[in-house]
Parts: sequence; C-alpha cells; structure tokens
Amino acid sequence: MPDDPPDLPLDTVVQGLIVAHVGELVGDLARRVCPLCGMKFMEFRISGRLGCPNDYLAFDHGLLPLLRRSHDGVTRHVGKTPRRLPSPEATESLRLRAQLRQAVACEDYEEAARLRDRLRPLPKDATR
Amino acid sequence: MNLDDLTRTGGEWLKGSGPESDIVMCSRIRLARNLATYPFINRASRGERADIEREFRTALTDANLDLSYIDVNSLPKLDRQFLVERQLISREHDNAEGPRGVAIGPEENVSVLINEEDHLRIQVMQSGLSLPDVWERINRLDDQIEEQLTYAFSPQLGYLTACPTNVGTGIRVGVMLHLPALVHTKQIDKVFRALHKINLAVRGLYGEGTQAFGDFYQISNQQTLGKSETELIKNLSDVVPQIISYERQARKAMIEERRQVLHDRVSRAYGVLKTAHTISSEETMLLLSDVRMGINLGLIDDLEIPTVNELFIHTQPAHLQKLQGRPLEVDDRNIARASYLRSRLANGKHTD
Ligand SMILES: [Zn+2]
Repeated sequence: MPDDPPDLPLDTVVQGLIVAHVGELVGDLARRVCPLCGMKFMEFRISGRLGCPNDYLAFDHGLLPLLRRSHDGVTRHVGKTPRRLPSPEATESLRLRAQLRQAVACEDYEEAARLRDRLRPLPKDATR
Repeated sequence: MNLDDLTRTGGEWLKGSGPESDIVMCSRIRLARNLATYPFINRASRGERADIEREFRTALTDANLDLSYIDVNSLPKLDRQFLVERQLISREHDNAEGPRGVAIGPEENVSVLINEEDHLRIQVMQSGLSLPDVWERINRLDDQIEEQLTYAFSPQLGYLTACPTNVGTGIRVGVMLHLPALVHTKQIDKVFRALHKINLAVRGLYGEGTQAFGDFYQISNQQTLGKSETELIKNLSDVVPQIISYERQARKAMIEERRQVLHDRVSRAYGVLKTAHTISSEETMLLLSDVRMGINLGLIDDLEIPTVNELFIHTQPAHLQKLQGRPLEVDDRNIARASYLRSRLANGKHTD
C-alpha cells in the first residue's frame, strides 16, 4: 500500500470527503471515536460499516436517525434472544484486542505478548 | 469437500419440487451473527480473522453438524466464482481477502459463511414456497451453533451487525420468483413500485445491483429491527401469493389472447437452445426463461423443470469451465455452452 502524502494527513482527506458526500457533521458527533476499536463516526458515514459492537453505544445519537429510517421508525428489538448474553468481559476483550492491534502496529512485541496472555483464558474455554 | 463432485449435480433448491414451484424457484433465509469479543470484520486484523474462523470451525465441529468446510481463502478465483454461481457464497465473500470459509450442508440447502460482511452468515434455501420450513430449519441450526459461542447482542437493539441495516434480528427473508409473463406484458415495474412502498427489496438472482437474470427476481425484507422473525416472514408470505396470482393472470391472458404467438416464441427458444453452436450467457438466460414458462403452460412436454433450473446455473461461466476442466475465453465459452446445451437437451427427456 502506498504511503499517504506527508503534507496531506489522512484525516484531512477523510474530513474533506465527508463534507463533500455527507455534509458537515454537527459538533460533537463529528469527533466521536469508539474507544474500543478506534472507529470514527465520520469513517462509518463513508463506509457504512461499523468497527465493533461497542459502536452502537459510542455513536448512539448518530445512529438513531439512521436506524429509524431503515427500520420503519422502530428502534427496539423484538425477536430472538440468544441463550447466552455477552458479559462485561466481552467489552474488556474488545479493549485488549484494540491495544494488541496497536502494540503490533508499533512493533511493541513485549506488550503484544502480555496482551495475548491476558486475552487467552476466556471463561468458556476454562470450563471445557 | 471436492468441488468437482458438485459440478454434475444441482442443489435441492433447483429440484422444482416445493409448493408453487412453477413460479417460486426457492425460499431462502439468512441470519447475520457476530462474536461478542471481536471487532467487526473491517476493523479485525488478519490474525483476528484467522481466530474468528478457527472459533467457528471448532463450534461447527462441536455442534456435530453435517457440514463440509471449504477454506475459501485458499480457493482459486474460478472455484470461488463457481460457488457464487451456485448461490453458496456471495460476491462479497468471493472478492474479500484473508481468512474466510464456507460450510456447506448436504444437497446444498445450507451454507454457513465465515468472515463475510459479518463474522457469520447462516443461509438456508429450499425449493418452492416454504418459508416456515426454512425458518424452522435455520432457527434450529442457529441454536446449535449459538450453544458453542457468545454473540454480540444488546437487549435494546438485538443482534449487533457490521451494518446497521441488519441490526436486530439480522434476518433476510427472501423468495426467488420467475416472472416472465409480468416482464413480457410490461407490468413488472408496477409490481416493483408497490413492493418498494411496503419496504420490500427487489434484486436480481445474484444479489444487490445485479441485473434481472432470466426473469428471476428475489424479493426480500429490508426492515430487520422492531419486528420479530416470524412477523417479518409473515409480511413476505402475505405478499408473495399476490405476486404469484398476478403472474398467473398474465400467463393466462397471454395464452388465451395470443396462443399461437406464445407457442411460436417458446418453440423457437427451445429450438435455438437445442441446435445452436455458439451462444452467449445472456441469450441462454432469455431463451431458458421462455422454455421454462413453456413447460409450465404445457406448450413443451418432453422436458422437465429441474433440468431447465439446473441449466440456468450450469451454463454460467465458471460452471462451464469446471465441466470442461480448463479456463476458457468468452468465444470458447459460448461454443462450450452451446455444446453443453445440445447434449443436455438432445433426447428431449432429462439426460444426466
Ligand atoms: Zn468500536
């Protein structure tokens, strides 16, 4: 993949695209970032894809109008519920994974190894 | 699983055996699911995608399901295209990169896609209009897989998906309809406009953005949140009989008012397919569509519907190349296609 031109940071390019295609996003929403995966709300508006399950919380205000438009004005789930619901540790795993991706990107392998160890023992595997 | 074993067969959904199967080629439901502890695909690293694939492969094995796994990432382009033509994987899955796969059930009714737009896409297809059966089957399969894993789910928003248009139930309920008479009598756009008004989507055979293909159209729900799976299935099930009845009326009118013209058109289509020495994919689809309607109207009596259904798929580019056992350019494919059609239609009766 070619490097970004140094005088034109990717964020500026992305922001430009957003304004061109989506219009100026108001205030706080434009700056929202999911703390667990690093996805920015404006990136989502370009690609249409979210970065992780936590984005539904991180971007709640931004997503609500979109959900209403796609789903006939309704924003509450009725339907199947899985027998096992995600525990708070799931959020912790997402956080650790984001740190791990970061550590690998920075070639901090010591930190990466430490994070991998913390990710390994999931409750379900332990009981098997 | 050896893909070459599939080339000479057709999936169950081509058997033309279910209710209303003269018009409804098949019913299909898919469910989108994601693991709670991983980012969605576009944010997942290659290593994470490999982990996701491994978790699902383990889950499918532990659930003791009768599925054969194919490592899509290691397949050559031609084989991936072959799976797309058979409706077992999506174009998006074909064109993606990195660790991904598909688990296929017997008779190709079931395909479970790993690392598509979502971590997991479960699909069940069945011949004819049979949505309640398909739902029962996919719901059970979903339960069996879910026992092994924890999905991203919120009580407020339901199953969390990479694209918010699928959130909630994560369900896409669809039927594939053969509507040649509505196309010929130019009433099809009217039907589509009515469907859009009630929030149903219309697509070609190979999904979003694809052209109508041999007068086949997929009709499916767009809403996934705020209604239960069974309500969404009922919404579609209530509409489909009306479209079927429009198509039947259009066919009846054609045969009553212009029987000779219609019979001529159908016979010529059949004649060209049986005798051509080079033929494009587009022309094949058009003519097969006429022949299919001709059989259903009793104008052709020496050919069976499952054969025609299969020919729609087996005359696609990747299928022809797999059958010939080598890559073919367009001109050679057109020759191979004509030769294949002549051999399949030679004796009139089903020739396997
Ligand atoms: Zn996120």
